[in-house]
Amino acid sequence: MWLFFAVGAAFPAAAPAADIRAFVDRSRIGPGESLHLTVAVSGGEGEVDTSAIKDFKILSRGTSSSIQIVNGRTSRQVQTRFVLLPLKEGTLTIPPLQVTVDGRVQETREISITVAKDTSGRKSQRNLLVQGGVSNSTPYEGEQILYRFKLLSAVKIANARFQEPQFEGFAAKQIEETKTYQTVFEGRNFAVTELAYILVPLAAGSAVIDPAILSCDIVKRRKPSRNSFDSFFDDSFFGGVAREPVVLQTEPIAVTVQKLPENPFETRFSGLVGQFQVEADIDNRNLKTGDSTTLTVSITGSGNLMDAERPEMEIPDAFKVYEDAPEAEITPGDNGYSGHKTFRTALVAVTPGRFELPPGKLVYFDPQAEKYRRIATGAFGLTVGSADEPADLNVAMPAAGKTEARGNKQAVEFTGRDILALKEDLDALTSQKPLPLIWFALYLVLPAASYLAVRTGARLLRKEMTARRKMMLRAEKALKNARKKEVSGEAFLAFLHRALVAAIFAVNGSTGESLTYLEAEKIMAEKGLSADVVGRTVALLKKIDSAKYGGRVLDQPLKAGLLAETRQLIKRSLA
Amino acid sequence: MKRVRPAAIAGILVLVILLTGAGAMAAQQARTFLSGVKAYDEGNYQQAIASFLELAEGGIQNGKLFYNLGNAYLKSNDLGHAVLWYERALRLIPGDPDLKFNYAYAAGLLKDKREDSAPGIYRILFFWKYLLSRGTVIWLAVGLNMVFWLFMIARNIRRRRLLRHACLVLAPFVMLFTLTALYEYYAAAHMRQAVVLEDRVAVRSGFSETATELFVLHAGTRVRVEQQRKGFWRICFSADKIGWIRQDAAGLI
Repeated sequence: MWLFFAVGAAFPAAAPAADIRAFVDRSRIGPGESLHLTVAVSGGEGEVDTSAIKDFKILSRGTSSSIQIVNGRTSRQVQTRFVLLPLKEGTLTIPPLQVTVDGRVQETREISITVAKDTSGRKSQRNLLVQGGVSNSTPYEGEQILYRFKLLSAVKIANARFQEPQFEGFAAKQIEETKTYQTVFEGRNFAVTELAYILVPLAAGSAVIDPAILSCDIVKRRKPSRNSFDSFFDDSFFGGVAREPVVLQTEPIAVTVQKLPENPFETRFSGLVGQFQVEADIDNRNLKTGDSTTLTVSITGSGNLMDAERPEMEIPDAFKVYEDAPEAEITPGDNGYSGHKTFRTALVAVTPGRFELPPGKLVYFDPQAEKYRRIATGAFGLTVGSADEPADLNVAMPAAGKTEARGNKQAVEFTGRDILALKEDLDALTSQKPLPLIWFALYLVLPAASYLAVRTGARLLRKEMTARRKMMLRAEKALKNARKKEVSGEAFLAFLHRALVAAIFAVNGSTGESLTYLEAEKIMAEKGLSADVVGRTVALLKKIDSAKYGGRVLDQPLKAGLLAETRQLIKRSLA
Repeated sequence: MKRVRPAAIAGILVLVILLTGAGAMAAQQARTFLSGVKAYDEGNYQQAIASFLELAEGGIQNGKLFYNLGNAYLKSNDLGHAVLWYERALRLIPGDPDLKFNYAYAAGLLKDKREDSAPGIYRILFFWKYLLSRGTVIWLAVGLNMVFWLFMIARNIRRRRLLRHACLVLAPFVMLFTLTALYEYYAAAHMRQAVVLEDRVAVRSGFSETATELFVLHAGTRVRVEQQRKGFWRICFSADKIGWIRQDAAGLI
């Protein structure tokens, strides 16, 4: 559990808008130990300016906020926490820090921290150590060295975060394999976790490898377990453990990179530094003109093998030379980079005769012997006979590496690295500015609005159509019923009346059951029907009503006449 | 004889002047562009940069022009500016194979290893966003939206089952691209990213040159810009690497 104690507090001279406090978790620490500085702002959100801190390195920062309700009053507190690492020993200060809250600048109070080697009570630090070291602190340019970081732990830790050094002035590659083993240090048994990096110095001179920083939480039991039941719950899952965050760093390492001496040989220096062997082979020594053979040269060893170039070989002019992309199998390990790099060259015989391929020569620097070495391949004799039909070299040229002969396909590899060419078309001058947001919104809204407009219009139209259709159907149905033979005289007249009224409503595009003569006349006139049709329709209505209510006996000819007249009016004039 | 109004003559003259001016301007831009290409081919990369920059600063936003600028900067060993212009080009022509090749080449020269793995997951989940440029996404959203509403209108007039199915199929795509386009607008306005331009930039704990150096970033590294203050930007490289850098040490994408 964290025990924070306030060391300083500061309030602005004027009436404060916010309460600012700065405090640390410890005021006395040892070199390499970290401390936590917390700046708490109550009643606002502040921006902390830590530029005044000179005696410490700020490793990380984090922000948290909380809301407190005391006596019904709600207040919000924002805490900015910094992890600080002292840069020297002695009495160091965290100067007043400026905190800007809502545009007002306030200051915290100064905090003094004692950094001394004889700190007591930090038992955790003795249980946890970090070490960094290199295999050779005076390497030559291009000579690979190993950097090892070791974490020695006698306690359980969690949430470890490793910040590797910058390795300025080196090409660095981490060896993937992480080693774990046990060791005895100062009489105590420690579990060791080891990380290793291969470093290759890029230039002669002095270089410093920065400290590696490890931050982690030491897992502690919250209280000793009293019985087996307690121990069951003494697990992080049940909250039975506490975590103490710590930050550890290694010492900086000075490396002096030596300049390579002068190359004493006539052969050009290959740039390789390490231990190497070279060998060569040729797959066919008896050829005919147009035939090809593959010369394979392999460099094996440990060192900066990836920089190896094709060894110098003087190929007679009687051969056309086609160089293939080199193949490399180089792996980082405890001895640095090691493996082999193979160069294949296809030689196509052009002129018949006997020829000798002289040895390929390679000069490299051996840092263990501290001198240059020259190694060479064997020489080869080649016999080229005349072909019956000279081959077309440009067509028949096989790829190096015997791929054609064996039928195996070979992965295409880069033989050079460069970027692709410019784009020279003048369409590069066409601006591709994106559509402004307002236009985008309009393009989205307009089709939707169009849809709504169409839908509303269609609905209105459908409504009108529905009323007219409904009334016409009613008129047709009434006429159909009137035609039936079993219908009595009164019902016959009622059907005719109903058919005629429905037809008039259909003309109007509305629905209804009954109309006066005046209403019928008005509707038909407004809808533009001729005076003749209006007059005939109203007269027919009156005739039907007169027959219906006057008790007139309907004979068959009269019924047929009324039916025909009504039908003719509805179908020809009103429909 | 019918008399021509003076206003009409003036209007025609203005139109002719505008058209002539636009033509002359286009010709000048073409000359500048071609001189940049020529300078690049001759190995005069600084001259090429000057020509292409003149066009870009003149308001031409074109992925190919930005790609050329990236090439010219890379050839003149200015990795920071090269990555910056490649990034700008990627927003306009993300699918261009030449651009992807050269960007990968430049990315191989970066010193800072990215620490956030989330973008990889985002790339898988929202793959269309990374395959299509911002402009393409926006116009696709507009186009799909129009087609969708046209189908809806047609369906309203003629109630065919085929139209209903077409609308159902189109609806998720319309939604997807419209939301993506809106996100693009939001990101352009509020989610700023920048590329470190200088070889070595100290990221500090505060917005002053004397503030503690927290960590160092190198040319070409992409960061998220969170705040601006007193000539400094608060940048976020990864979840736990946040700090302040000078504004002139980085360029906004």
